[in-house]
Amino acid sequence: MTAKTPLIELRDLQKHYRINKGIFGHRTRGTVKAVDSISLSIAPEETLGLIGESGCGKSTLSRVLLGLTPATGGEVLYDGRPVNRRTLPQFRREAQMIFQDPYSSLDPRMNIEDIIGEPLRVHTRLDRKARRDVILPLLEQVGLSEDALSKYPHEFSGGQRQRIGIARALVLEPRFIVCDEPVSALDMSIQAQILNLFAEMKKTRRLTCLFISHDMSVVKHISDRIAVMYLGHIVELAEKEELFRNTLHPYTAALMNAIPVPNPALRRKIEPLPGDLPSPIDPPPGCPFQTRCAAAQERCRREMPALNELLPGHFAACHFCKGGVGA
Amino acid sequence: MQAILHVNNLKTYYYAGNRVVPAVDGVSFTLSRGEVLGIVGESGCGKSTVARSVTGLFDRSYTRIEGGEVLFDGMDLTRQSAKTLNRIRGKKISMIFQNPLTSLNPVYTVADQITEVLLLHEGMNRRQARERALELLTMVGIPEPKARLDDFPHQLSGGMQQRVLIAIALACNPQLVIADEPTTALDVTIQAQILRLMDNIRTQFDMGMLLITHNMGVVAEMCDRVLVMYGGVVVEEADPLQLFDAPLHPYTRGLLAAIPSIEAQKETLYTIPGTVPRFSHPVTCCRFADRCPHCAGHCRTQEPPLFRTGDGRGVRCWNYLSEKEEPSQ
Repeated sequence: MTAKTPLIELRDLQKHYRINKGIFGHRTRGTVKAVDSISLSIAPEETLGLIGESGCGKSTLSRVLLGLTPATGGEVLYDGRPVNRRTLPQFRREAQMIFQDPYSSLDPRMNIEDIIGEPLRVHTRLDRKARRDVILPLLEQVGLSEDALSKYPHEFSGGQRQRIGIARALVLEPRFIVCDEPVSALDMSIQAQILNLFAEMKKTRRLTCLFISHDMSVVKHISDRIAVMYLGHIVELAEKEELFRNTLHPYTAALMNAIPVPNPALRRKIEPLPGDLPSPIDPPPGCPFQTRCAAAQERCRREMPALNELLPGHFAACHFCKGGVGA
Repeated sequence: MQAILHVNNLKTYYYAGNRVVPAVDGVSFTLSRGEVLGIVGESGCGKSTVARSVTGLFDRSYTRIEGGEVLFDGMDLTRQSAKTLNRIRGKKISMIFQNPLTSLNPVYTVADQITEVLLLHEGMNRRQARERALELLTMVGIPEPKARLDDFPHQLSGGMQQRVLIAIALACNPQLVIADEPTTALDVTIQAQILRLMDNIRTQFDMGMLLITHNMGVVAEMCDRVLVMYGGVVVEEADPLQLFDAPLHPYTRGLLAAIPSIEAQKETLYTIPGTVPRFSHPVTCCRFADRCPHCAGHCRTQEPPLFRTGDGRGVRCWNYLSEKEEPSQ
């Protein structure tokens, strides 16, 4: 998998937000490092799952990746070439996004034909009739009927709206899709429908995906590899089976331990991770996880651990976990 | 175990124009001291309406309790005046809501909001109440409780806000706590902390807890007994071990099969076809009929009752009747 040229490659991607104070906002009070020097690559047709708690920077990462927010450092490579002003239009056409909230991500004043057809209007020269010829079969593929075309978003349920969102993302036949919590807002029985639809689309269209979620079981279901994010950093990255079988980073372990298991026979005393996510404003030097880590030592407070390949294809950023330099 | 809450055939309907929505249509259960009863279901199944009917916290301009009774402490809560209910709510029955930030008043400090219940229900003076508030904050595991007393809600994280809400709920040693999706708005590591806290409190205070959730994992970890709701009725009642091991109702089976699993890799997930339909009163079919793989003739003409099984479970499905030899209802 790593032998192929990655479709998407991030090199030291950074997004720092300055927090200003004073009535003119002229003095800088601190910096939020929402995404702090992240390097990742996604192979063609691979689905990379990105998991983390709220505030860890996973949504910021996706927005910076797609160029929806300018990065403050680093670069994004698409198909081996850096995304810049010249290549952005093509990148935008071939990289699409499915959003979390199916209510606020569809314009309530546009009908479904206009919503799904909008990317075609922007990126192609097809006329209305030609656009409809593209939209109709797609609509059927996502499980909606033709009479949906003239309806408005409020006439659909959450699951149906998410189908519309998927159709809109697929209408330009993209190669890369970012899904930012696409099923979090849906009910259990609908979540499974959308996940199946998504898996099918992924397979038939040979899509490459970045799948963001806070739900470990959903990420595990859909992804090939999983990256765990904490406070702007990737702390662990591995093939999904490997990640679950051989968890290296203490945060990943805590995250897995905290998930309520839908099996009462396995009911155990959860040993919850103490404390909250620390404030991302000017975090202390050293490991981002030091404030909640049971194994933290002097070195963790001094020195930021790098994301090292501790086992083949299995990366972790920890001084002391198995196979690490300090172990 | 001593029963503290009996809900008998509760019916709560919403009136929307000329449509009558049977949000809760004949729900019965009993809750004992020290027991956690879970109500699980998808949005719109009526689980929150059950909680709001028990406490009388609903908008009377479009909501009416059409029948049934809620027996608590020797009285029927559905027939009590607002004044009586005000004396019970916050003292004997308290609630923990889903979104901690909107449940707390942004312009009052943590101390103000905890002492409010104590001043109102316990007849304490301000100094006593403040001391008790400090005790409560310590008990729910807030670090540096003394410094937090004079904080405003926005200065606390989501997990800490939820702890404050739990402290308020526990202030008067209630007999019954109703928790409506208490951890849905929280991250998993924080959710684990709050579930742990709620479990400790339940044992320590020997109170009954009604836990409303849509998360099957939370049900499996926390509950002693579970009601599965669909379309305003209980479709299955069981203890969690039975429910997860051998669900009887096709809806429960579908729900459990639809959850992606961490242990096993499923190629495709099982799906329940269709969406949750909207019902109008009166309902004359099995509410799950349109989405059920086993739907037969009389499922569409007559609603099944909640059949009682020999081992204390309940299931609302005609097929159970044909599968088993003798119904007991």
